[in-house]
Amino acid sequence: MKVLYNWLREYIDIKDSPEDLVEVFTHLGMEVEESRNLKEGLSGLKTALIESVEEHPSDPHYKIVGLKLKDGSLKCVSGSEGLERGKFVFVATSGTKLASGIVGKKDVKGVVSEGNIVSLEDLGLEDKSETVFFPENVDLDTSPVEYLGLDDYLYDLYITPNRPDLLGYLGIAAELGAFYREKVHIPPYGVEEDPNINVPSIKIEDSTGCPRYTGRVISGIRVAKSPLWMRRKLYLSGIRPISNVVDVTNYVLLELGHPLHAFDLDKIDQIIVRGARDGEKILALDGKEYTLAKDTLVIADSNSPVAIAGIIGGEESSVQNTTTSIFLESAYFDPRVVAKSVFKYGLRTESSIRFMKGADYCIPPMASSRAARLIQELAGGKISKLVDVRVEGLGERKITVRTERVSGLIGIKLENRELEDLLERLNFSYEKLDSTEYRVHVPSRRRDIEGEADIAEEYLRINGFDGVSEHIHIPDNHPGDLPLDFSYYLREYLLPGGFFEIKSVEFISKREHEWFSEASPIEIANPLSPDMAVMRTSLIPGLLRAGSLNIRYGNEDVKLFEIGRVFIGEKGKDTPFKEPMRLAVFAGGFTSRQWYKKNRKFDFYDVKGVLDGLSEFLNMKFTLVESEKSLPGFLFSVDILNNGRKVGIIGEISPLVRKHFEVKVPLFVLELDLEGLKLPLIKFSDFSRFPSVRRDVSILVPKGTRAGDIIKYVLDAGIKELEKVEVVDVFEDSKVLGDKVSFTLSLQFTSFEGTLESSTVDEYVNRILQVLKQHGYEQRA
Amino acid sequence: MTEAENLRREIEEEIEKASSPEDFENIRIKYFGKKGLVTKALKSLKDLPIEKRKEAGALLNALKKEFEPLLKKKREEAKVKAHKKSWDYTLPGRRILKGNLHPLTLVELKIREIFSSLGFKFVDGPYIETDWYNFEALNVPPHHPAREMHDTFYVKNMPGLLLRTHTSPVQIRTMEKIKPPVRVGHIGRVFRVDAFDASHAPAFTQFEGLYVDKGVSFRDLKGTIMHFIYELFGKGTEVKFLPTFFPFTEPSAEVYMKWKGEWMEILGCGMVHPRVLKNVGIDPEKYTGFAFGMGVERIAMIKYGIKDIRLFSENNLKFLRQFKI
Repeated sequence: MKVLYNWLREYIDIKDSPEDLVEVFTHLGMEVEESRNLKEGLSGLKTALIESVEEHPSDPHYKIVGLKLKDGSLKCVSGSEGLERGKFVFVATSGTKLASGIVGKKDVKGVVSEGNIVSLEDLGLEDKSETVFFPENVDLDTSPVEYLGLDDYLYDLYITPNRPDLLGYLGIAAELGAFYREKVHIPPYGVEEDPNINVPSIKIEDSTGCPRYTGRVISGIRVAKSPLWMRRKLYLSGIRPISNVVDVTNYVLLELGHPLHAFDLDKIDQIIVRGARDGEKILALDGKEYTLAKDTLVIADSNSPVAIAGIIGGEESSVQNTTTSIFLESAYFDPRVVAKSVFKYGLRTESSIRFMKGADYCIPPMASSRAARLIQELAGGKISKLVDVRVEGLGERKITVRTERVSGLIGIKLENRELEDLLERLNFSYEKLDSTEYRVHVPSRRRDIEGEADIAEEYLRINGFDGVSEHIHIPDNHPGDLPLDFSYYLREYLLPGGFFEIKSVEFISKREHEWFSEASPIEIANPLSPDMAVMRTSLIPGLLRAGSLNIRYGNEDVKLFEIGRVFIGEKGKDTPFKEPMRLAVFAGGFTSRQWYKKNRKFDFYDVKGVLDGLSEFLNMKFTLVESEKSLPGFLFSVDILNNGRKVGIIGEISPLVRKHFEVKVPLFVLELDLEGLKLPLIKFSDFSRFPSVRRDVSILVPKGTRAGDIIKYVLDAGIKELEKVEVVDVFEDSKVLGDKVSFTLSLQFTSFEGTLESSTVDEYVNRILQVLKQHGYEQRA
Repeated sequence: MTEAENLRREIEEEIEKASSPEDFENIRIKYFGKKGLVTKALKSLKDLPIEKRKEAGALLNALKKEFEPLLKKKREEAKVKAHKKSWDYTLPGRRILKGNLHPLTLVELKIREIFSSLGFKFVDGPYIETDWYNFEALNVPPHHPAREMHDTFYVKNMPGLLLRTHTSPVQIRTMEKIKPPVRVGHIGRVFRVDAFDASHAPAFTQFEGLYVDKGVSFRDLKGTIMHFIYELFGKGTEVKFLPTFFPFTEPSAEVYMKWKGEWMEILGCGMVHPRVLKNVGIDPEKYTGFAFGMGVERIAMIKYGIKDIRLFSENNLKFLRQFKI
């Protein structure tokens, strides 16, 4: 809501300067989005008398205008019509800030212009000016800023949706009145009614949608342009001036916050407020034709709709320059009904905004009279009686307010008189029911006030929050320390491995989903872009987006992880989706290059190592099997199984996907479902106090033999003293070993009974070698 | 000059010139080794006449006693010296190349720490929600103008499902399960139809707190919020409460704090609206409560001086590496 300081002062005595008023608005819950001193940059704007008008020597479109100022004279070049000797103009001298820029001396086709003769457009007071502005009744002493009403401040206030009453000057004045303890000046709205003027019949067919409709006629008017003060106020408020009649309806909308509509009386025979018939059409004032859905609330005459109720009028019945009589509508429409039409037709107008948030059902007669009075002032004419059609029971609402209850909510012990004082400041009348209870009459404009909680808010709004003390109640049985969840420990496990945590947006493209998931996705009905059309079914696309960005930005070693939810559709179930937590890990590029360490490309084992570590960390067994059906995002992948159930995947990203992400190096990922995983209970188990003995043995196996099989056979030997088996070397060289591969295993033995003799260990190793031999694996000599 | 005196002079000269452990060892071998000059001289004592033998013997033995340990000591010293010199302490060491947490996780952990110590229990809730939990139960009926404040993503082909626009549905879900006293916190993602720019993102993180009990007032809310801001930004941070509107709280306030000379809006809060309590079957005559919500990105932006919200989801390592803890 745009508000002019001086206009506001017509309704309330403001004790603060325009600058300080900003603070007061904020204090009252009206956020000031912008405040502007309108005269800023206009100190060089002067009144001038045209002394001479000469032809421009090289361009007939321009005139050279000699101007007399109070102190000196000026020569300006102007292309405007109507420049004549003896007329007054406003001239912007060097340094003046106009809408088009800062004024300076400039050469206009060989003639120096020492200033600009300004139009209202130059001053930001209208969209398009035909000529420069010619002020009337001025002399050289006149201050243009004062004459134009620019010695003013313009605020842009954010009004919260619960306070439609603040979408008008009078509502804002009431707020300031409560704050300053001042009375609001109601603008004059008395009219002299002519009982002989006929008013068309008004019939409400849908009284839910329209509980009140008032109408009156003003006949014998002259439609014309509004005076400057009116145009200025509307234009600065963001409403384009049209004609005196339409301007007055908009003026009253801003002043009282109540929307009105004027019809050309000759174009309507009666008023029926009804639901639209299916397929009915209306050409609206915005120049568009709307095909109306059944039940859209409309104002119709006996033939067809002439307005969509509370939203927009029809073009055909609108006030034109030739209009001589009007029918003035001042009604109250139900917020839900208007909101429905607003959403349906996408029509946001000054009128619909106010009705859908909730207008004041008591104000229509006053708004009608105020507008009629102003129309008569500006356009002449005679005013009919008001016809007021309404349902019963519209009036003040009453709520019960207990001092104790309000005190309890705000945490300040209020005395009765403090509550009474608040109600008086707000201009709410009340009756005292007993020692602590009041019946409060809520004015119809304050539809947000529903109960004691609202009164508590009013108290804090008007008096500020400073009076509330601070208190913290900590329960006796509170847990005390930080309950860290599973994912915290997972993060702690990954960080020392050089993995960085990322957080990606939960939206992915449909293609990314298909690359990495077979699940049914949750799709967005109104996505921002096709790239964000699906809720992620896997964390891998997010990691690839981040990973590729970092690799393309010149990072050699990119190791990332994310812990977060994925979204899986489960059609047909009670809850048709689930949101399991997952962990995903990414390695791409090269290991970090250091003087003490040769670098290499990341490979499969870098991400597999994360799983192996996790298995130990969580004390869980994961089995890997080659994926039966490979997903298109992977070049190679293995499924991670836990108790036979697939819980994750490890793989290398396919060249197709790498190409999409513009990455040349191989990329490896791991994704693991975290549902059901939890930290193991740590339980101490006794260990041998005797030293361990290590033996390294190299085994020759056919190419393609899996390490997992070799280790399994080693364990099959069933030696309980075997503590640990590690693969410490894998050696392949066809020149030396032919078609065999050598695995070196480090076997670690210990016993609870005593230090193991060398001969005993030899025996264990031999037994192991025997088992391996059964599978055709020889010891390497 | 006696032989012993000559040898002493020679040894002293050679020690003067020596520097490496090997130098000292060579001197030792040259004079005191099996075939060393001093050893030889001692061996040849027997050829001397008896009267000279004793004096010469004493001198040579003195040499051996003095220089043999000295050379060993010098050699060890030279070794240590050589060893010391071999470390180029300006060469980068073998570092632990640790990753770090995302800044939003850092802030989340801090928030959890502060509120856990006040007895808040952290709970969870779904990101895909129904209209009831996201709007209606929170006192936002269909077509309510407050819906304008939230531009909502809807789920395709699943009428009634949407992506939650705030964390407040967790209030409803919690109060449906737990009866007062309720004291919970929740941190999670929320979604709004906002294109990315420096201060908007279609998905971001919110922290929600709720406390419902007998006799809870705005005073408790103010105390809790002030405590939180002091813990996070330092005691004595200037804070102000300004009135605002949320459909699910009444009275409602917006909290600002002064940070580097500027007032920054950091959270919204209020007393739980009586209708919200009724919606979950809690009698507002018996119980009152407060709730608050804030953007975790916003907190992180203020705390770390980040100017662009997009950085949180871009995941550039140049950004992520800065949050070492």
